[in-house]
Amino acid sequence: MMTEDKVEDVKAEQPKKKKDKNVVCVGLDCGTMHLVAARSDTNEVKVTRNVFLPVDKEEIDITNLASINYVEGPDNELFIIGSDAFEFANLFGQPVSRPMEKGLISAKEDAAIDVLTLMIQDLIGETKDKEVYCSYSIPAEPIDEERSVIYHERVFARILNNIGVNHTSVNEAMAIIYSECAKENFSGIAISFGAGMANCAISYKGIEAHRFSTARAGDWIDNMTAASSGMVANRVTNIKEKYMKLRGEVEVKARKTKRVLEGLFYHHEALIDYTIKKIIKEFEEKVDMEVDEKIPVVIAGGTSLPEGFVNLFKSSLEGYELPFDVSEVRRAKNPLTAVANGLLIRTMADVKKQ
Amino acid sequence: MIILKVKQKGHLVDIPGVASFRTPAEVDISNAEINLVIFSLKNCGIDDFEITTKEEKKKTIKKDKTELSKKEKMKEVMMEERFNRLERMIANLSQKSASEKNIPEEQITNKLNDLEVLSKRILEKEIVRQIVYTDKDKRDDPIVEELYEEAFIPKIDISEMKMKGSSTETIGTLDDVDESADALSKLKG
Repeated sequence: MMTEDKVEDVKAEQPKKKKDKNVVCVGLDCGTMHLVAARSDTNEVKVTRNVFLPVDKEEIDITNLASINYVEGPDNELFIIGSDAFEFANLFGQPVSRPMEKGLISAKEDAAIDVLTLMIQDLIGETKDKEVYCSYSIPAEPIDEERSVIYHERVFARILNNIGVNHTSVNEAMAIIYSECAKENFSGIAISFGAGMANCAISYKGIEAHRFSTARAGDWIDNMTAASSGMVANRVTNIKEKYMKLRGEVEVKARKTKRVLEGLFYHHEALIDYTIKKIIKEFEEKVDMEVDEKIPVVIAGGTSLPEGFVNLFKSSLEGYELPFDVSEVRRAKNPLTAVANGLLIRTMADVKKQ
Repeated sequence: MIILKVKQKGHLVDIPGVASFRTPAEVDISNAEINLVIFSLKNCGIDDFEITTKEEKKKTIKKDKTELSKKEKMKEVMMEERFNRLERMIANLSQKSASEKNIPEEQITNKLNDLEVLSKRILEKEIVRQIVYTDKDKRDDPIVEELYEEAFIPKIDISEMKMKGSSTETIGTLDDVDESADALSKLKG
C-alpha cells in the first residue's frame, strides 16, 4: 500500500496555530479492572470498570434498564457495561465477563474486543476533527508465567486504530515514573499493583534499565481468599473495596466478612513479600548499572489502595538487604490515575519533540 | 537502498531487522523482508507509508551478495556464449529462409529445440539472478500486497453495535503534566 500525499498537503495549507489547536494528547491505562484515560484538553481523568455482563435480551425487559449503561449487539445480544455490570453480577452472585485477564486481553470472551472498543471510544471521548495521539499501557513480560504481551499490545493498537487514534504502547510501570518522578529526573523504581499483574520498572534518568511483571496481584489475592472462604471472587473484591484496611481496626460485624478480611490481609502480605523478592532478584541478575544515588520506590495501582498498604510494603522491605539505596517509599499522588497521567506526559513529550 | 517513509505520526514501530523507530520517520529497510515490513506497519495501524529505492546508492550493494564464484562465472559465460551462438544461427537461418526457399524446416526446428533445452537448463541452474528494482514504479508490485494476510487477526466491527449511556466517571484531575512533559521531552532530547 503506497501513499498519496493529499491529506498531508491539505494539512500543510492550514495555518500552524489552527493545526496545533486540534492536536489532543491522551494517556490510556488499559488495566484488567479499570480503563483510565487522561486528555490534554481537559483537566479531568476518566475511568470505567473494565467488565461487562452478557444478558439475554429476551429474558430481560429493556425498560428495566433505563438507568443502566449497556451495549446492544447485532444478534440480539445485550451487554451491561462498567460498574453496572459489576453491581448486577454481585446481585445475582454470578461472575462478570472481563475483556482482560491477568493483565492481558482474554481469549475467553468472544465479544470482548468489540465491547472494549466501544468502552474505549466512550472513555477517550470526542475525537472528531482532532488529531489525537495516544500512549496506551502495556505490561512487561511476566517472569513467573509463560505469557506473551504481543497479542495484547497489537489488539489495543487495532482498537485505537479503529477509532482513528494515533497510538504508541508504553510500559505501565514506566508511566508511573513519568508521572511521579519528575523531581528525581525520572529515576526510580515504580511498581504498579494492578488487578491482573504487578508491573515493575527500574528507571535511571528516564531510561528504562529493566522491567518485568509478575502474574500475582489483586486478582490473585481475591482468588486465593475466595478459594479459602468458599465465595465467588467478585464478592471478595466487593468486600475488599468496601472494608479493606491493612492497619488499625476494621469496623465489620458479620463474622463471614471478618474471615474474608483476615484472608485478604494474609494474601496482601504474601503478595508484597513475593514482589519484593522478585525485585531484588531481577535487580541483582538483570540490571547492569551502578546507581550511586538513592532512588525512590513509587507504588501505584488499584491493589495499593487499602489504607496501610505502603506501610506494610515499607516494613516488609526493611527485612531485606537491597542491591540499591532507597531514598523513600511513597504512594503515587493518585494510585488509580498515575499510569494514565504518566502516559499523557509521555504523549505530550513525544508530540513536543516533533 | 530501500527506504521506508512513514508520515503518520505517533507510532512506535518494531520491524524485525530494523532498529525500533518512532514515526514520522524515514528508515533504511534494505536488510528487512518487505512483507514483514508491510505486516509490521499494518499491525501498528499504519496505512500511510511509502517504500522507495535510491538509485544513487545502488552501487553500495555488497559484493559478496551478488558476486558469483569463479566456477559459476565460467559456467555462466559458457552458457551465455552458447545462447548467443544459437541466437545468431537462428537469425542467419531465418534470413536465409527469406532469400532461399530450400532450407529444410527440420534444421530450423532442431535449432529451436536446442535453444529451448538450453533455456530450461539455465533456468534450472538458477543462473538468473534476483532482479534488483531500482525505481519506485517497479516496486509497486501487487504480489507483495498478496503476501500480507491478516485474516487471523480479529476483525473489529462496531457498526451494528449501539451504546446506551456512558459508563465513565471522573476520578481525578491532572496536575503538573505540562511541566513534567517539558522535562521529559528535554531529557529525551
